Amino acid sequence: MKYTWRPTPERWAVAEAQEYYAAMARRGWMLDKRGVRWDRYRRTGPQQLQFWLEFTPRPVLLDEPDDLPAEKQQLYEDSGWQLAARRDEVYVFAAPLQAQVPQPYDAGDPQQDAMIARLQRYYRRDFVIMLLSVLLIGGLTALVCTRPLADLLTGFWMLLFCGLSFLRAVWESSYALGAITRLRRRLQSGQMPRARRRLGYRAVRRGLSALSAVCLAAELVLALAMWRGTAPLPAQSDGAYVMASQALNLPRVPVEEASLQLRSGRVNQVQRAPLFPFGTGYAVCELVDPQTEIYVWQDVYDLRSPWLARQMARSMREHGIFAAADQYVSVQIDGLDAAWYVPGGMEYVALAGGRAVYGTVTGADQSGEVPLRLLEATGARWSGR
Amino acid sequence: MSGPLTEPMYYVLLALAHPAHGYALMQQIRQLSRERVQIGPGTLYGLLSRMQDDGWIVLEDSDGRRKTYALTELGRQVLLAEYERLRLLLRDGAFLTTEEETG
Repeated sequence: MKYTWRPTPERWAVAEAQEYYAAMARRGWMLDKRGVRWDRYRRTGPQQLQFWLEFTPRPVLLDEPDDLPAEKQQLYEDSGWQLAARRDEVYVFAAPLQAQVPQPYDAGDPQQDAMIARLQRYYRRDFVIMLLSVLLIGGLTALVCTRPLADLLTGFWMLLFCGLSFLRAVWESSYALGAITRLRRRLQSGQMPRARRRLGYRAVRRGLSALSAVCLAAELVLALAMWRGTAPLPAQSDGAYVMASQALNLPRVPVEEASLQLRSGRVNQVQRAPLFPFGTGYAVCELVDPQTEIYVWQDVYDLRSPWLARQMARSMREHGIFAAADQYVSVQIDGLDAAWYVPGGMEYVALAGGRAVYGTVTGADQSGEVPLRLLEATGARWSGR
Repeated sequence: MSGPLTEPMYYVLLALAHPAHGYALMQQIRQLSRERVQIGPGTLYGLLSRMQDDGWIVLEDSDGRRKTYALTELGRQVLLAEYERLRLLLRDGAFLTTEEETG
């Protein structure tokens, strides 16, 4: 059996849904299952059908079933309307177009109480959605206005995607409020729901959807490129490499090239992990000097937002491996945000642009002579604990 | 009774001169009105619920999903009052047809 799926018409678009289901039936696709976002259609061959959406009355008690009264459903079936699909409070009935099937309701009588009650509920729901979306847009705007622009440039596409998504939610919910109000007035005055094309509404919605999809795609491409290491990364402070190169007269090795060095055996380990949607994380372990067995271990968090990087650096300062040590010495080294020394090793945090680097340098010399020699070579200023 | 009955209400009460279930009522109404009045299932269900709440009709029997209703004494009075109102309306306007006939 062949199936196809199409987006579910908006819940308030009653007459439009009826017409759409009839049009699909004419094209040979019978509504099979009504979903929350997508409706399923079964291939049946072209049929001339009419559809009607019946709403269940709102339950008074919490444990009351949200079903159409059995007698009412029986009346529909006896009259020639067959249940095609059901989702929550909406029952979709279908009947042959040419047959002598009575219309479910007589025009002129405001009797569709269940639908009116449901519409009131939709109205409240859409009002809350609109309010929340407006608040979120306001929050995003405040974020953009209060942070330096440079902070957000690297997260630009994700930010734009979020903004456009919320804008779409505002557009949909505010339009729904107007449409529900008009439909309720129409039903209360005894008129039947009337299908409208709503070209402007759909054009704006599609436009916003397309733009947000483009932004999301750009964000994903950028994230993938950074994960693969092909995208340019912000400037960084490789404190450990600086120290190592100065102390041991070794060439400075940027982190970006660490994976290349892996082949030569100088880099022992390189790991990359995407921190979607915030950026990429790297873990680099390098044996700097085989003779003295000095290891440099760096965790690099390319967070693409200086603000996030600062938060990460602060967290690393508070939870570093030496933070709980009984005795360590804080040292000041140019290019490093913070550094600590204990006999046998040192720890540092470097911060640059949207990148936070946490690193440790350890030497095999238990006396601590090698790390001390490294520190002295950098001209570190000791500030004590 | 607050005012005149609507056409569907009148026909539902009329059809309930003999107890019947929903679909039988729909057919009875079509027959009574000579195919002129056709009440939809949604409208009929709403009317039956409202009339039951107002005490015009009463549930006589329930056969699964089909329920049989019957007129109450109050319902019969409402129907007769409406019939009388319509009869008077017809009487008052009868001269229109007699004038046409006499030319």
